[in-house]
Amino acid sequence: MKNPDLPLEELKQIKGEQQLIEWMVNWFRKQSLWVLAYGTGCGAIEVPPTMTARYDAERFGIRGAATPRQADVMIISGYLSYKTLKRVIRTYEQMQSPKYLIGLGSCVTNGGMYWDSYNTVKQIDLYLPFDIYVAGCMPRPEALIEGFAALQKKISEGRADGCEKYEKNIEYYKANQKKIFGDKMLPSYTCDWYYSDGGTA
Amino acid sequence: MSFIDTDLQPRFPNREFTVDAQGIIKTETNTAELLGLISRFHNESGFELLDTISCTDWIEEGVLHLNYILYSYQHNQTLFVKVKLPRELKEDGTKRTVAELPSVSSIWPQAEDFERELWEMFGVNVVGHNDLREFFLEDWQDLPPNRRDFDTLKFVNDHFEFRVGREDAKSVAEERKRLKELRDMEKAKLSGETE
Ligand code: SF4
Repeated sequence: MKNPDLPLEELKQIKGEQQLIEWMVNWFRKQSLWVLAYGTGCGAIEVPPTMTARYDAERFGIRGAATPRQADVMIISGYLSYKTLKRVIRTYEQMQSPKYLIGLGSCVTNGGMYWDSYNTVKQIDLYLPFDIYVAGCMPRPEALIEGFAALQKKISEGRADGCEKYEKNIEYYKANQKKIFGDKMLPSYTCDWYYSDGGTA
Repeated sequence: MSFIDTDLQPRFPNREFTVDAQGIIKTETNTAELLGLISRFHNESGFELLDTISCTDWIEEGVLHLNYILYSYQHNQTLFVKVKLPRELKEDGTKRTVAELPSVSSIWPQAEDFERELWEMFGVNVVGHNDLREFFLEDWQDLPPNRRDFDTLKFVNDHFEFRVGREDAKSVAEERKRLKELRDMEKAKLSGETE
């Protein structure tokens, strides 16, 4: 039987011989995005309604996950202080790939209204790779769901490659992280494939 | 008879109390008398609760204005104990004030956290505190950030990088207007076709 729904356009985007398998794997991935239950800033208030009855993100396969090792998506949901950034990087490195990062709100994008604050990060993509940004201050749940839809589209086209980018450009990201944390760098065990010491410290 | 006349004034005959429009009782003291006075309020006058310790930096007058906010469940009264602390910092590079503030944590253990905050955010030199370390900040090297002589913008420019804007930086309002007009035109065209 001919399947009229087979998205030929998406298929064409994926290169290589294993086109169909890649596409299928991506299809499965995009149907079950588990979001790490983690919130910073004002978005920590905006995410719960997205998940609960009114907006019910679970109908898209989006649901909460308790620990970073079970989660696929992390939402940075607002202004992020340097102290928290350290924790966020550690959490992100503990997540299993494929993993996706969503930036929610203008504070994540460019510092937002805290542009002159002494303790928030102005440009987070220096330290972590983002897949999707959702603009607004604060974006409503509809906008967040639209962001998820955009992420799903990206995944099915095989373009959501934040974690590959992180692995490939790890020197760049670690150098940037080192610039602000100085000798108070994070412990290396969450990133032991990069550190040559096997991640002891 | 107000609470001041019946309770406070007889116990503290030389002390001056004022009441503001919201019924908050205020009195002023200095760092030397602070601990004795506050423990008397606590033990004798029934002010069981320390709500918080607030601090304002009056750079023009050269003082840090501290308010110990006490509350009494028995009498349903709020009392502000004012202390004015000179805001000069020590010369030795510790970035803490010359004036010493006695800790009230022997009376209320929760005051430890308030004092840690004063210590890190305003550089108040708290003495007699068991556990003086950073509360919100981490590895802070600069001036205490809530002091008004701390220049946030300069700090940000020195330490952080901003996202460079788009080159064609467009005004959001105009762009929205343009898009709306486009949409309206399309709509008008569509409805014209269907008619
Ligand atoms: S973008 Fe606005 S709503 Fe979101 S964290 Fe920043 S200030 Fe809060």
